[in-house]
Amino acid sequence: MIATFDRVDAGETTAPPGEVRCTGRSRGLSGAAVLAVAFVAAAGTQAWGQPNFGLQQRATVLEHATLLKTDGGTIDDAMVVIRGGVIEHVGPAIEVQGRATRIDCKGGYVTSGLIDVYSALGMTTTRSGSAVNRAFDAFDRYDTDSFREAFRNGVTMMYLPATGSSGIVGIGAVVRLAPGEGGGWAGEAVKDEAALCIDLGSGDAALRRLSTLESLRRQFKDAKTYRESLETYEDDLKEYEQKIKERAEKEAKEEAKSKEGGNGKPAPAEDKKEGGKPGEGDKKDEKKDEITKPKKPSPDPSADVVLKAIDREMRVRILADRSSDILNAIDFAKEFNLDAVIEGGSEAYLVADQLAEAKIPIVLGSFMGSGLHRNDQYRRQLDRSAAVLADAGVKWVVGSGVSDGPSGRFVLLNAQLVAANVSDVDPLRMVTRDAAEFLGVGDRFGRLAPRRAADVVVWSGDPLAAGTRVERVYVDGKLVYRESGSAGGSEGGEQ
Amino acid sequence: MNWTRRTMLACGGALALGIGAGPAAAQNRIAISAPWGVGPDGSLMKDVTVVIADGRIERVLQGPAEVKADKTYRFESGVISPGLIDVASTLGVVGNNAERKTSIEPDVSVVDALDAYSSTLLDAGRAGVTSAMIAPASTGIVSGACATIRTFAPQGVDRVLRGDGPLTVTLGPASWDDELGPSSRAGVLQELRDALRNGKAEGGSSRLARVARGELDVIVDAASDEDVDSAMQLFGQYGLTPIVRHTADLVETASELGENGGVVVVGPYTFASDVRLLAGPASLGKAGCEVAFSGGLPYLEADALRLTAALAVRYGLDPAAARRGLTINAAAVAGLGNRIGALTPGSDADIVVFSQDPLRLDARVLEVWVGGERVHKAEPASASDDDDAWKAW
Repeated sequence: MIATFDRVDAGETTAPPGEVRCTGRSRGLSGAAVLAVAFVAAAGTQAWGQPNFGLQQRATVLEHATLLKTDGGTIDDAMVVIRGGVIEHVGPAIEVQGRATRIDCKGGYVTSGLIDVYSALGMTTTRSGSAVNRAFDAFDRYDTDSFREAFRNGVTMMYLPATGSSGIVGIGAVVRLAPGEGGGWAGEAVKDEAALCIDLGSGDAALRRLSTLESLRRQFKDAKTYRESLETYEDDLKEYEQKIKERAEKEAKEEAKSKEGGNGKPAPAEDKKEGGKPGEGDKKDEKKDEITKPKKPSPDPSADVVLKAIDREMRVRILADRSSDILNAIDFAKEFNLDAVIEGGSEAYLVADQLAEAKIPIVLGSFMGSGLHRNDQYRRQLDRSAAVLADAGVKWVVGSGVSDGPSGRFVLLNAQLVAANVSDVDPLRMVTRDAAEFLGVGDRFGRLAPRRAADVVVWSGDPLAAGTRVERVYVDGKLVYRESGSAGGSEGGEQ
Repeated sequence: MNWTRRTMLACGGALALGIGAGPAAAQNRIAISAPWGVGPDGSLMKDVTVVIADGRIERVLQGPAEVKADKTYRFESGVISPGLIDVASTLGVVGNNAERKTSIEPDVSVVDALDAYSSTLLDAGRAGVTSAMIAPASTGIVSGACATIRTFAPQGVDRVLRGDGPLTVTLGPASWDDELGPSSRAGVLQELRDALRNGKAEGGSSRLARVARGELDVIVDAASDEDVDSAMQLFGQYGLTPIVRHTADLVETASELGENGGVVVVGPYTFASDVRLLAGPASLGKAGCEVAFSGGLPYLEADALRLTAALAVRYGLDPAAARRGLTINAAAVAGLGNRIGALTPGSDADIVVFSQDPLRLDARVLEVWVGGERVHKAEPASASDDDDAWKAW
C-alpha cells in the first residue's frame, strides 16, 4: 500500500519544486495555527488534507531511534525531527515546538533514504536514439507497485539513464520518489538533465562499434560547427545592424541637409556629385539598399544538448563494457574535454591504469546476474573489477544496472555484495552519502543531518543485518510507506 | 553446553545432539573456535568451538572453553557454519543430465554424468557451498535419481555422499511429450500409477519397487499448485509424502504444503524475481513448513545460493529458518541429515567460517573445511583508499 500525504505546504507557501524549504520561519510559532493535517489511510491510497493556513507545519518526530554514525559507531536513543520536507533536528531528544506526530522507533534504526546510482526502476522500455530524448519522460510515475517494492527496501532516489541502441541515446535524470499532488503517483526530477547518455554498443559487432564511435565524433564536431555558425551569425548580425544604423544616420543627415536645402540652401556638392554621374549614383543607392540580413542557422536542439556536454555543464555517461570500448571512451572524453563517467565496465579492470590516469570514474552494474546466463567466469571478472579498480585508484561506484527494473529494489543488498569483495567499503555509506555526492546532489541528499531533505527510512533493526525490515519511509517529509501490520508508535496522534 | 534442541521431522532421529561425549583417543584433534556459530536450529549461537577428529565433528562447545587439541584455530570474528548445500543443482553435470529416451527412467543416475573436474565445483566450494544435491533434468515423468556430491573432495574424503536418490518425478507440462509419452496431466498420472503398481507387483530392488514400498524418497518438481495437488494425491495412495520442489508462486498452496509438513525446496531467486515468488518461503514458514534452497548453481553465480536465502529473509522468512534452509534442511532433502548440514557430533566435518552471518551478503568466506581438512583459505580482500578517493567528488 502506498499511502501518500497531500503536499503539506500546498498553496501560497509552496516553495518551488526542487528547492530546500526553510523551516526556520515555522519554528516557535503558535501551535494554534494548524496546517494541513494529513492522514495515512489505513487501507487505501486515498489521501486528503485540510486547508493550509500557512503558518506552521506539523512535525514528525522519530523518537528513541538508533542512528549509524559515519565513523561506524551508533548513537542510541536519538531523535530525528522532520518538518516541511526537511530534517530539522538530528541528535538527542529535544522539546519540539508546535504540533508534532511522534513515532516511537525504539529498537529501530533511522537512516537517510537509499540512492541507486544506476537504475531502471519504473522505466518503460525505450529505444531512444537522440540527444533530446529524456529518461524522465520514460519514467512511469504511476508504477506504484514498483515504488512500493523500492520503499520496502528503503530506496527513495535513483539515477535513470536513457537507454537505446548505440551512440547518443538521450539525457539521464536523477529522480526522487516524492509523492505527487493528490497521491497515487510519485516522482520528482531532482535533476532532469543529469547526464548525456552515450552507448558505445559493446554488444555490437566490431565494425558497427567503430561506426558508432565515428558518428559520435561527427555529432560532437557538428555541434561545435553549429556553435561556430551561430557565433558567425551573431557577428554578422551585429555588423548588419551596425550598417543599418550607419545608413539610417546617413539618411537622416541627408534628409536634414535636404530639408535645409528646402529652406533655400540646396546642397550643390551633392547634387553635383550625383547629378554629374546620375547613373552611378542610382546604382550606389541600390547597393546601399542591398545590405543583406544574415541568415540565422536553423535551430538544432540535439546540438544544444551536446554543447552542454562539451561545455561541461552536463556530465557524460558512456556505457562501455569491452576494454577496447573503454579505451575509446577515454580518448573521446579527452578529445572533447568531457566530464565523463563510464558505465557498465565489465572489463574495466583490464584498463584500470588508463582509467586512473584519465581520472574517469566508473559505474559498475550489479555483481549478480539477473538471468540464468551469466557464468562464474564473468562474475569473477566483475569481482576483480572492483578490487583492481580500487587498487589502481579509480573512483568507482556500483548501481543495480539497467538489465531490468525490479533489480532497482535491492540497492543495499547489492552494496553488501560489493563490500564482501572489496575491503573498507561501508555498504550503507556507498548507497547514501557516496551515491548522492556522485550524482551531484550531496548538498541536499544522502545524509541524515539538519537542513537536508527529509528522505528518511525507519528500519526494524540494523539495516545490514538479516531479518531487518523497513517499517516506514518518508520522502520529502511525507510518509510514503508503512509496513503493513506495524504498530509504529503513537499513530493516534496523527489522526 | 548443548545446542538448542530442535526436532527435525525430515531428519528422523539422525541428529545426535547431546554433547560432551567422553574424549575419544583420536589423533589429530583440531579445534576451531569463533565468536559465533550456526546451531542446528539455525540460530546464531555465541562463542562456539568445534572439535574435529578423524574427519568428523567430535564435539561442539558453546561458551568459553579450553579444548585440548593438536591444533587450534581461533577466529577473532566470524561465524562457524555447516557447509552450505545447494539443492536441485546441476554442478558438474551441465548438459549431461537430461535423458529423454522414455518418459519413465527410474534407473538413470545423474551421478554417472558427474564431471568431477568442472571448475564450477571449486567456484561453489570457495563460496561456502561444500555439497550439492545434483538432479536430473525434468524431461520425463520419472527422470532418474539425484545424487549428493561434495564440491571439494580432498584425498580420502568421499566425492559422492549419496548416488541413488531421491528419485525425480515431474507431473506438469515439462514431462508431457506427444511422441515419447503422455501428453496430458491425466495421462502422466495414469502412466506413473501403472509403473508404481508394476514395481510393487514385481518386488525386488528396482527403484520403483522401493518407492512403492516407501523405501526410496521422491522429489517432485512442481511448477504449479496443480502439480503439487497431483503429487500429493498419487503418492498419498502409497502412504508417501514426496519432497516438493516448488519453482513458482506458492503463496496460495502454502497452507496445503504446511499440512503435509516436511521440507519444501524453493529457489533460485535473483534480484529480478517477482514479489510473489520472494514471499513464498515466508508463507511456507507461517504455514509450518521448513524450506531448503536451490541456488541454481552453476547457471547462477556461486553466491546465488546465499542470495536466494537473503532475499527470502528480506521478504519475511525468519533468519533462523533461512539458515536451516541452507544447511540442515537441505541435508534432509538429500537424505543425508546424519552426515552433513549441521554442527553436531558425528557429522562429517564440512565446515565454513564466514566473516559474518552467512545471510548477510557482505559476509566473506574465510575458510572452508571438508572432511576435517582445510581446503580453502581466503586471500585478504583488496583495500580501497576510500576516504581520499571520495574527497574528489
